[in-house]
Amino acid sequence: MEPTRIDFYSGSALGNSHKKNSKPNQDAVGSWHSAKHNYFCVAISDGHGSSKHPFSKEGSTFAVETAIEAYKECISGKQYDISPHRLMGEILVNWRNKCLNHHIEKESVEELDVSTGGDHCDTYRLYGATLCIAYRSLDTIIIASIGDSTAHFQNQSGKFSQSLLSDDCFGEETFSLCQRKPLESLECKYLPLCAGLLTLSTDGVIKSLKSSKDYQKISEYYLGLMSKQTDRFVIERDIEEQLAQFSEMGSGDDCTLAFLYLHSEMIDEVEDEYRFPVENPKKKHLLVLALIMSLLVPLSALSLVRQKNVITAMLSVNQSKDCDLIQQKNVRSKEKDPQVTQ
Amino acid sequence: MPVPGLEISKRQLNFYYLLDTSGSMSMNGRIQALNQSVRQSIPGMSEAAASQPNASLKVHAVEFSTSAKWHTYPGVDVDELRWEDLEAGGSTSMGAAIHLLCEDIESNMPTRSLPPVIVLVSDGHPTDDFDGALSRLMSSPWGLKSIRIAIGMGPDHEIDWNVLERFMYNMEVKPLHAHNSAQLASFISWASTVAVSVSSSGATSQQGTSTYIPTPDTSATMLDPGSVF
Repeated sequence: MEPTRIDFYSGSALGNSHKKNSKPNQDAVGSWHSAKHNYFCVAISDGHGSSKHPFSKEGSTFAVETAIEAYKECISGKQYDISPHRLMGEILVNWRNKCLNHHIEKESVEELDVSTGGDHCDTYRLYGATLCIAYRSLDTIIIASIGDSTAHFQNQSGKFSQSLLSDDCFGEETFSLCQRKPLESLECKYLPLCAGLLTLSTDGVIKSLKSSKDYQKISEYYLGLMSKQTDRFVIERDIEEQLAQFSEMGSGDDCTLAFLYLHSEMIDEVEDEYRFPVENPKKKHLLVLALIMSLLVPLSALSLVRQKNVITAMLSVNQSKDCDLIQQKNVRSKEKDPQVTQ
Repeated sequence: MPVPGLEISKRQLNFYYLLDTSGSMSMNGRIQALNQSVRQSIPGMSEAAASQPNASLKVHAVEFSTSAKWHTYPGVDVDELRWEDLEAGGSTSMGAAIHLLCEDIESNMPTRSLPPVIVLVSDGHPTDDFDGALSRLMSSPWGLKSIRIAIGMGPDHEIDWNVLERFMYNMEVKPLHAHNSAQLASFISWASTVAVSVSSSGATSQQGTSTYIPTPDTSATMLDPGSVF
C-alpha cells in the first residue's frame, strides 16, 4: 500500500452574524493532490458578504474551483515550475468567465435587481471574494494570496514556526479578485518543501483571537494531533468545534481553516528526485549553460577551474533545503501578468 | 476540545457622540431636545448591541463649545450609560472636538476592532480649525474607516452643510436635517442603531469603496413634532 505522504484537513463554520441575517457561509475551501501524492494545492476563499457583493458565495466557490482546475492543468501538462503570477493570472481569467456566465444565467431566469451598467468590472464586483492558494512548484511551496487570508508554517519538530501571511489592516476592507487590477495586490511567499504543517485560514479566524500572536497556538495544537497519527475523524470533528467557537464567541464572521500536513516520507522522495541533476530541469539548464561556456571560452586550465567552481556553488545552493534555513522572499509583487486583461 | 491557551474575544466597537453645546444651542429648547434625544436612544442602542453578540460596544461622548472636552470617557458599555445633561454656552470648537476624538482612536483602538462609529450633532458653523482636524481624522487609519453620520439641527441657513457633508465623506447618505425635537430624537436613535449594525455586520468590502448605510425613513408623519428649532 502506498504510504500517506500528505494529509489535508479542513473545516468551515457559518458566522454568527450571518446566521442571524439568514446569510449562507460565504467561505470556500478545497484541495487536490496528484495520484502519487507528490504534487498538491490547497485553496481558500472568503466571499465579502456585504450588500455590494450579493453573489460572493458563488464568487468564493468559483475562486476555489478555478484555482484547483488551473493547478491540475499545469501538473497534467507536466509543468512543474509554476509561477504564482502566471497561475493567478489563469485563475483570474477563468474566475471572471465563471462569474460572467453565472450572471448571464441568472439574468435569463430571473430579473436581477442588481444593475451593472454593462461594465464587466461591475459584474465581477457582485462576486467579490479573496483567494489564497498554496501549492508545490518543483522543490518549493508557494503561497499566493489576494486579500486578507492568514498563512502559517510550523516544521515537524515544532521548533520552527513562521507567520507567512497575516493581515493587520484596519477595518473591514480587503483586496479582492473583483478589483480592477487584482494582480497588483498579489502577495507571494516561498517555502522550501519540508515536513511540517501549513495552516491557511480566512480572516474570521484571526479576528476571533485576542492577539494575533496566538495564531501559532492553533498550528501547534493541530500539528500535535497530526504527528500522533490521531484518527482523521477526531481531528475533523475537533476543527469543526473550534471553528464554531470562533464564530460564536469571536469575530462572528464565517471561519475557515485548512491544514496541509507534509510527512517526512514525501520530503525524502523529493530530495531523491533532486539528487540526480539530469532529472532536475533547473540543473539541466545549468549543465547546458556550462557546455556553451566551455565552447565559447578558450579551454585554459584556469577558466575550467573557475567554471567548475561556479557550477558547483550554484548546484549546492539549489540543494539547500534545511528547514532551519527557511527564507522568505518577495513580500509583494507589483508584477503584471500579460495574460489577464484588466 | 478547544485549542489550549487560546483566548477568543469579541471585537471592540467604539461609538462616539460629538455634540455641539455652543451658545446657539440654548435657543428654542435645542440643548434640552439633544439631551432628551440621546437619553431616549439608549434602549435602542442597547438592543442593537445585544443583537450583535460578537461586538463589544463602548459609548463615548465629546461636547464642544468654546473648547472641547470628554463628557463620557473612557467608553462605557451601553447598558451602563447614564446620560448627564449637557449645558449650552460659548463658541463652536468643532475642530477641537475632532482632535480629541483622534487622540483616542489613534492610541486606544486595537487593529482587530470594528470600524468606529462617529455621530456629530451641530446647529452652526465651526469657529476653529475644522479643516485641520478633519484632515487629521481622514489621514488616521481608523478615522478613514469610521462610519460617520452628521445631524444638523435648526433652521437651514444657520447650519454649515458644507462642513457636515465633508465630515460624511464617502458615506452613502447625506447629512440629516432635524427641524424639530421629534426628528432629532428619531435621527439620533436611527444613527445609533443602524451605524452599530453596519459596523458589526461581519461583512467585508473591496478596498477603497464607500460605506453603505441604509437611508433613514423620514416619510412618517409626525403627529407631535415637539419644539421647532
